Amino acid sequence: MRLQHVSHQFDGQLVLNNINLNVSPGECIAIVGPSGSGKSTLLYILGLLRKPEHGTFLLNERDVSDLDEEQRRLLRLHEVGFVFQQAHLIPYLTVLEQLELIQENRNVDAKELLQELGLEHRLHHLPMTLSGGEKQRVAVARALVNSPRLILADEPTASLDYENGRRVMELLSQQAHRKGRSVVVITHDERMLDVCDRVLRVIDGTLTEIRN
Amino acid sequence: MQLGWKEMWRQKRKFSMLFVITLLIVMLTTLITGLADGLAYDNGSALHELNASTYRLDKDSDGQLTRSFLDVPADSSIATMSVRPLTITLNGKKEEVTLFALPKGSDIGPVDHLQKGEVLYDSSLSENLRSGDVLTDFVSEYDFTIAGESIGRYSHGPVLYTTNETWFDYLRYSEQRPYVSAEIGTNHSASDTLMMSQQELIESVPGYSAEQSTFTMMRAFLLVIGTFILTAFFYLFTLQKLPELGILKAIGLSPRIIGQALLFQVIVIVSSAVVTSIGIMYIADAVIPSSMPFIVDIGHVLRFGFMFIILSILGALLPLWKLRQVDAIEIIGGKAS
Repeated sequence: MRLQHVSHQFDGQLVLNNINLNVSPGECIAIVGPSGSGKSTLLYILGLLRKPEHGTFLLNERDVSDLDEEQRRLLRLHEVGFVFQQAHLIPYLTVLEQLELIQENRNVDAKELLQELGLEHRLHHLPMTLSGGEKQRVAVARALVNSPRLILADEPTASLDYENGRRVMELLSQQAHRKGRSVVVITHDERMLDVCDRVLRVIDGTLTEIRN
Repeated sequence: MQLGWKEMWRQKRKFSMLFVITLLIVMLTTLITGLADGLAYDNGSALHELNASTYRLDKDSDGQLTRSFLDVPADSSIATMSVRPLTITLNGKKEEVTLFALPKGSDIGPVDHLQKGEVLYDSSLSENLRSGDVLTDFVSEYDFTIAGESIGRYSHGPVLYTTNETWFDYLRYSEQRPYVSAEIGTNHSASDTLMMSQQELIESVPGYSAEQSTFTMMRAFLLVIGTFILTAFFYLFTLQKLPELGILKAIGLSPRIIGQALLFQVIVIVSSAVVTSIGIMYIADAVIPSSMPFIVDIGHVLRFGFMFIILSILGALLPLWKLRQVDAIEIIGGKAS
């Protein structure tokens, strides 16, 4: 996954300025930065939710900077896995059904995936019966069910206690190190950074590597 | 569709409430339809029961049989009928009836076996009449003898069926000029006559159109109100679900799946309400007193039910539009930068 000279404006203000970013398969990177620094915008561009105004976004060596909405939707479904700050699970679907709803890749066994994440005893439970940590792990499983090559996590530990947050971060880094996926995590929690291979900081729209 | 069904099944309380509200609205519409059909029947069933398709009336009659006065045709093969309101005395009490005189030897009406002076009566006139009882015309004092019963109402009153032979005898007795109200089944038209179909004739019964158009307006309003309420509920449900739906959109789930679930729910709820209200209508038909005009015309009710379903689907376009407008980024919690 590569961003080349990406710039983006919002309300006339430059929020991303000539960003270059390369994330290899099997690599887990963390992006930190103060609020309003542009890190969320960066994530939306990486997640194909926004088109970059300038520059190129290469996903699996394919230029995806200027695809139409439907093409981007399909790429999001097949190539990108999202984990958000809140799990936002569908309240009337069981844990297993949350995954089956969006599952396109039939090679993945959703039950096995949930088992890997320690949720085998929760397959047929509704979200209201799950703890916060369990909900977030379901969200991680949902992000993985289509075997995406890129996983994007936006403050995935923000609503969790340290222990559960740590577990989620370790699950994400395992996806990079064991499954060869590219993982990008945006976080404020510096205690979680050690599980990532690289840490980058966004300040005033520019990206700086602070730990390699 | 599975998504829609699972939501309904697991959130029964919410959808039960919506179903009950929809049912009440649909039921009100179908009960009014039953009442309108009952009144329509009560107004013109005597004409409904006649086995003829065209009628020739006096041009100045405004399509009303009681105001049509045609000369008796010279050609005796032309079938005629005559209709006149009468005040009869029955056990010393005056009653309003409408006399329907029909030709014998045809299948137009139920009078084939009647002799001169005999009539068939609608049971709404009295429950205590027997064959051989005599009804006397209050004005002419002509006696009609009861020969049996036959269903027939005209302008919300009971009908007496008799033969043309009795009709002319009655006119002769009361010293009136012989006339007929209509020629039946004739195709030739003349400038001084009015050709009408059976339906047109029914619609010309005094009060019929005013009555039916009132009910039609009530039903139309109920359809519109029902559609508005359903649309508002589904719109609110959609707003409540926006965070989850926005996330699904961000993940890349096709909006079609969510839209199909919503349409499925609308169709299931409205169809169930229509089917249930038809069942309730049949129960109502069984328990409502016979003096209350109420009829279950299943074709008519289904037509309104179908219209309700179509209008509800159109109403669902608003929440569907809202779904399309969802900005996943706003839902995730970021600025739309």
